[in-house]
Amino acid sequence: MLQNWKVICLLIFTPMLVLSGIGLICFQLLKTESAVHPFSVAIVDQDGTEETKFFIQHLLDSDHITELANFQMLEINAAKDLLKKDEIASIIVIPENFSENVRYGINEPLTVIGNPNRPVQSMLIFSLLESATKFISAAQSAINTIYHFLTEENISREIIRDHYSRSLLHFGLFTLSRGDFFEETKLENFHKDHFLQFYSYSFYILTIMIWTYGLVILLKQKTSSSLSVRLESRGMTSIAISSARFIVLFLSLFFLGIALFLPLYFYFDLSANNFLAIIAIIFTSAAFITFIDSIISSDKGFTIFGFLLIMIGAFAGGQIIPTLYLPEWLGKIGEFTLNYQFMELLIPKGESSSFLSVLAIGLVMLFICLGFQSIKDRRRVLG
Amino acid sequence: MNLLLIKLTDLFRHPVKLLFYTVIPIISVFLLGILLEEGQRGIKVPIALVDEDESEFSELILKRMKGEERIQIIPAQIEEAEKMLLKHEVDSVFIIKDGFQKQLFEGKEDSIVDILLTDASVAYGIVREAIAAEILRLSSNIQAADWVERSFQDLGILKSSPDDLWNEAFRYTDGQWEPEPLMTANFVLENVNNENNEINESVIVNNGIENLYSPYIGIWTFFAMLVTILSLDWLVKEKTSLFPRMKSTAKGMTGYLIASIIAIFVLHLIQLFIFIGIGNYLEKFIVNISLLGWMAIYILFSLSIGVLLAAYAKNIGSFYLIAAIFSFIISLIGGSFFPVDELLKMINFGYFQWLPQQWVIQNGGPAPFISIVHAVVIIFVTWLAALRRLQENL
Repeated sequence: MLQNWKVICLLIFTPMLVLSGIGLICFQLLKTESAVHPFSVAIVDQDGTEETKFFIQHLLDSDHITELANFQMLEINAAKDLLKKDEIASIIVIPENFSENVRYGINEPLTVIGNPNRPVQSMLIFSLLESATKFISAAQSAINTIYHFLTEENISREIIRDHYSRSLLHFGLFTLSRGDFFEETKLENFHKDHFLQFYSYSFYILTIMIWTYGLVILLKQKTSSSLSVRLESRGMTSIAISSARFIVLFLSLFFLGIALFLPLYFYFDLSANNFLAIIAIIFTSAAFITFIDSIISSDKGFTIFGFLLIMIGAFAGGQIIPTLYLPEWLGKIGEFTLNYQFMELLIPKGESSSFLSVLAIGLVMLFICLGFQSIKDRRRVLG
Repeated sequence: MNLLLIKLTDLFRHPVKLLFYTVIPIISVFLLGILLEEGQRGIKVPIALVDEDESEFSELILKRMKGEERIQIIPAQIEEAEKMLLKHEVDSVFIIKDGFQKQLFEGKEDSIVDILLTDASVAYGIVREAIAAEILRLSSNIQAADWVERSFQDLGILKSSPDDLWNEAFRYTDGQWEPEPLMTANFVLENVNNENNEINESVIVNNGIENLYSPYIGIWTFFAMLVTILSLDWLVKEKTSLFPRMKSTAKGMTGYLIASIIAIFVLHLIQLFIFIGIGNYLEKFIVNISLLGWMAIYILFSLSIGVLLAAYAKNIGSFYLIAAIFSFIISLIGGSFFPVDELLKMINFGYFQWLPQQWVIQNGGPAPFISIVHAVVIIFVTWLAALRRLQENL
């Protein structure tokens, strides 16, 4: 195996560097909001009344919106041009007769035109606008009520107009003060920085799995079909070959995995028990990939299927989006993945997973795999 | 030409091989794609809601919040809620404080709801806005009713009892939320059509924002690259055994290589057409001519990278490994799995649009002509490098 030292270096360092690089970028992106440049959003006001001006002011006045986006007032064609050039994230269109319709209780939806090249930003703008529409609806329904009840009575136009403009101002200011409803308290947690720790573990597990998978591909090639025939004729059974391969795999991963874990151990000030967890993870990961390898005989099939399994496991097992936020059915599927079991072992939530259960999974897989090989051997002897 | 025909017929003579290169990547893309799409669609924020007020209004808030699509409400007592928060079973805890309804009636809305958070609370902002909207709805109902009652008394036009008028105004304000609020927003996704330079408003989705990011094309760029490179494994075996003998033949090694690669290209085009056919049938994505062209160029790119890797690979095992790692890493950086280009643009880091995955994902990008020049240059250079290496080895 060591003859391929260049490839081994590639296998060991690339996933590690790229995964931690991407992790670091994403983390910076989430952590330091100031590093995020506000993106541009166009507002097309086709109505141009006092109410729409008030609505736009509402958007411009809220700090958490302007932190994210720069607004510019544009004509529809100019805005579409900019969208086509990918210079703006989305366009908010306020349709003609909008205010009048709202006053009569007719729903005339605003339109957000999203930029397909910027799905995340378009999504953000849409959800911000969606909550803004609810606040405006609350204010507008109150203004409408006052207007309605006064016009039902025989009152001069002047008084009605006075009430109308006063109520517009009152309820407008009222929606802007919504932040005062809440009082936030942060609870102290055992984990120093849960977020960073979660994704460090997640990337650690992914790296171990990719290493396991890559090492198996490298180990496989050493026993070409002609060589294995010769080995068999010398009494070397495939169970012996598989066991030897597993031992080499486990030992190489053991040293690599422990070395990679050391920075996490010191940075997060972890207990020594975590090393036991790491050994269980390495053992089970090696057993699992050996197991898959024994099922799929084609090298190419193994290459594709191995990746597919790792990716499905990473998503369903809650390594990218924590299981907490995933839909229930996906979370249930995820519980069957090794990725989930490994994460549970490192960041325990309940009693659902432990060191022994992860080890047991590994042992069962190893036994099935070896049993499978011994059946193969016996058939060969009989044949 | 004869050589090409031989290679092509050879291809169809091995149905297992044909199936392997077409069916396996397509199944993989749809399996992973459906999982990602459905997973994204069902994403929710679990929060614990503690109702200390137990009034009509607080129950109304609880009831309305349960109807919110993206939020999963777990009613709980305070101790239980705190425990759940610390065990990361909920994102955050919202507490409707005692005296909530009374304070709303008195118009004192300051700090009527407490929020408990931890470092891991990332999504409570959505819930905060949703609850704020519900509180505003109740509060504006009350204030409008107060306003009507007060002005009727001031103007001396009160006919019925003030309580009746107040209730009537309250109901009238609240009634404007049904069947839908006065103001809503629609989402339209612009489909920028590169051929006739016009914008079609293609997909109108009400609350269907989750459909915005379709993962299929992105995942295809990963599996297509992996399978395309893997399909060149014969090159690693033949370059040492067969190629040296070819030096003396009429077409030479280059002729043989080109014919074989065209045959493989045809094989992957078949895979591409089946993929698009199924995608269109299931209405998962829309492929126009220019996107089809980019996907074909992408296969060409993958082929040329594959030939280069095969030319340098010492043995078949390291070829498979490099193929897998290369495809994975470049797809990860290139945005096959998540919109990396957009995220990096947020920190003014825009060069990722030059990666081949982006040609396909962005359908040529904002400047298709530059992307084409780019593609041609990259493919040409890798080809030259690969050929040189193969010839050196003869």
